[in-house]
Amino acid sequence: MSSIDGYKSLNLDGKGSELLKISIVNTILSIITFGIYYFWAKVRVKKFFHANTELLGGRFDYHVTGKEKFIAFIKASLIMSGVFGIIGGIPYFLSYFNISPLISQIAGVIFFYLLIGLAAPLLTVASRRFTLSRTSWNNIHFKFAGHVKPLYKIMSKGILLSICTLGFYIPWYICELRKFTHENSKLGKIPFKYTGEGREIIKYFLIFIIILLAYSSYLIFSVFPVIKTNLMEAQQNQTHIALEGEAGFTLLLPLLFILYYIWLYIKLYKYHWENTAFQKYHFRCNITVSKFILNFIKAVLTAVLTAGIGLPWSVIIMKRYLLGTIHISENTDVAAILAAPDEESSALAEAIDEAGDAFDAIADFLG
Amino acid sequence: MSNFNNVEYFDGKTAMPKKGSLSFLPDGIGFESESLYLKFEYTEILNIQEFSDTFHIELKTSTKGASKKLKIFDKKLKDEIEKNWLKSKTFTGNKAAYKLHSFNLHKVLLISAVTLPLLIFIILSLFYKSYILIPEKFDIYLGRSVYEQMFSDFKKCENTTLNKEIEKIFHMLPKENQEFNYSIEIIKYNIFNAFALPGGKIIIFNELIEKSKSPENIAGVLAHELSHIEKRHAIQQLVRTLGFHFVISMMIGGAGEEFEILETISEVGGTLLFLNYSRGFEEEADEIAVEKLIKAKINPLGFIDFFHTLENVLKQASDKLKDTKENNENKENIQKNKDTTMPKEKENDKKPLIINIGEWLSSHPDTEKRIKKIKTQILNNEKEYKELINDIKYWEKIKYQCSSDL
Repeated sequence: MSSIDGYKSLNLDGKGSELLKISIVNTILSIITFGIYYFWAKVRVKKFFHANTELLGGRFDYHVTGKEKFIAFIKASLIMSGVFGIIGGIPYFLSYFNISPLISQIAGVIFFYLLIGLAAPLLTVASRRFTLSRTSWNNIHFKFAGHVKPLYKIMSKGILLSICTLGFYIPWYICELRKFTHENSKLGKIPFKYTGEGREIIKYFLIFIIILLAYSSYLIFSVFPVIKTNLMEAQQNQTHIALEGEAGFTLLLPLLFILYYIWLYIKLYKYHWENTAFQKYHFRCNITVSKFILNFIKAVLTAVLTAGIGLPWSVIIMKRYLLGTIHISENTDVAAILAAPDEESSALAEAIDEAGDAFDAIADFLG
Repeated sequence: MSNFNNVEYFDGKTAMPKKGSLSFLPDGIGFESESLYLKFEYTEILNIQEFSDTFHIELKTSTKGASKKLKIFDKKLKDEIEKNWLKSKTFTGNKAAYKLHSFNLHKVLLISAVTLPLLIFIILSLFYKSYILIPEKFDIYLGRSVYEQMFSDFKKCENTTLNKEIEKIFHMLPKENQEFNYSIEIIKYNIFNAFALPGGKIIIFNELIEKSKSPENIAGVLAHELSHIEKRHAIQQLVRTLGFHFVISMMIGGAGEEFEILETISEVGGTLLFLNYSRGFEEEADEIAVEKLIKAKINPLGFIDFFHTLENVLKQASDKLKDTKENNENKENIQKNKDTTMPKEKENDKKPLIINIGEWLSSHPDTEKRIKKIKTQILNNEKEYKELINDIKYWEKIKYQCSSDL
């Protein structure tokens, strides 16, 4: 039952016992096959969550096969070993030109980060294209129509301005990225819309800056001088430094960051969903900090009190809550959702599509 | 068989399903609605999924980015289709996996209770034994790279007399693996320790020689390190670690990425487990060391004597640590008394957080237990031994020759 009038929520109706069963069978088969079944196992769990999520009477599905994942892994491993081979070979190559080993190693590291920077938009687009094309609702597949070039523009501008403005541009950057990913995502022929703006979420980040400044001042003026003295004494006496009482207080401050991070995550989750629209209707989201924490405690207790056996139930508690807070208008015209015919695409887009599964696996590796 | 009504067909073109009925054909199923009649062979079925009240039959399609599905509500119908579909499947592994997944939780729990521990045991045993497949050349390569990275910058002891005496003892000990390049190196550094590098090299630090009471002490240590090399403990440890991580990643990865938090917990458990293995290797090395000493007619009591020295060294180190701590506390108290502007703090507020590390966290077994075990082994193998050096004063003199060169 939806808690917002005129809206229906996403509903995860999968059972913990079913997920536990899948997990056990996956484990047995993965061990028997010396790990090869691992790819089929991952697909099985993803399929469980997709197929057990219901919206407006229809269900989602995940259409990847274990075989596809396995082949993608081999392709990705080949690409990755080629890339790492080149990076590793740079110092040897430069040594022929009598360049010092230190400079050669630095060149290797710079090349690596440059490559990551250049590959990030490509991996994002390819991974999203692959994932969305393999996800469906009532057998109508999602689609991602975004191209790499505009994402390069957004990312290079976003990173540069975020650095230049000492992070103040981050909210605008986040919204631009969301706009790019959402507005290029379609269910069949119908694209999603995103109306979020950076100025509306900057308030959430200002709190972060205040905590960061307060914490940094505390570290600089109170903690570092004590650590420095302790270290010097320890060096003189050739002993190890003992963790003193003040350190306990110092460790409490990161806890504040964790709590802030949870709060920020919830605020942004709600904001992004409420600024996303399908057809002409905006989604609604009724996530709250208190309910999120309550469900989190429930999930943790379920796992701890059952010595880990209840972990599938814990995962379902959290996923069910998060999905259940997303609501879609009852007026959504389901009959108007039609599959998209094959559209014209560029050679690069075709190539990305072809290698999409491998790029998705690489994006998976790099987290 | 008769027609089954209340079936929905999703054609992948529109989100609205077509309602109709299903009938059985000789090699497949037929779907019929008001405007449509479709035939599907059993081989066209990709998957059958079960929900609380419905069953989804996923069908193959040749169109890129599209899929077809039949939704049925009758369990008997689903069972019949499933039976025929499984019959049509050729790859038995795939079939077995599907069947295993379609069992109910009780059955799966029962199967896993029997098979899972057995599978883990088999796979770990295979991993543990698989070190014999690694050529011994790898030990030599590994030992050489460890030496180059860790010990090549240390100063070697170049005193000819001491080197000669230590090498003499080393050569007396029987060596079983002809593939390895056995050698010994004394390093000038104040550490009470010795290392066995895979492939045959032993590193001994001069402090250990200086604190020894007799050359028999050193013979015991060398025999112990030799056993580590010959039993390939370093390679065994490496393979065991790989095996353990493989099993863990299969167990957690197989359960899905949502369970990856378990991996961190398992890593901690794994570390404790490997410390236990490490203790097992030490005990094995002690046992073989005694055998080697007896074979070489070197008095193994010297090995026990070494453990007494080790206990003293550890005790001295612990006393030193205590003294430094007390000194620090005294210094702090003096500072507090001097500083009159600062309010006095309660004693309890400043207690350092000290973690007590038990034997279970150690990579070596308890020294007393080791002594006891060795004593029993010696009692069972009493023989006549020859003195390594007739004049103990000579040993007392030469054992310091390395540091006098410093």
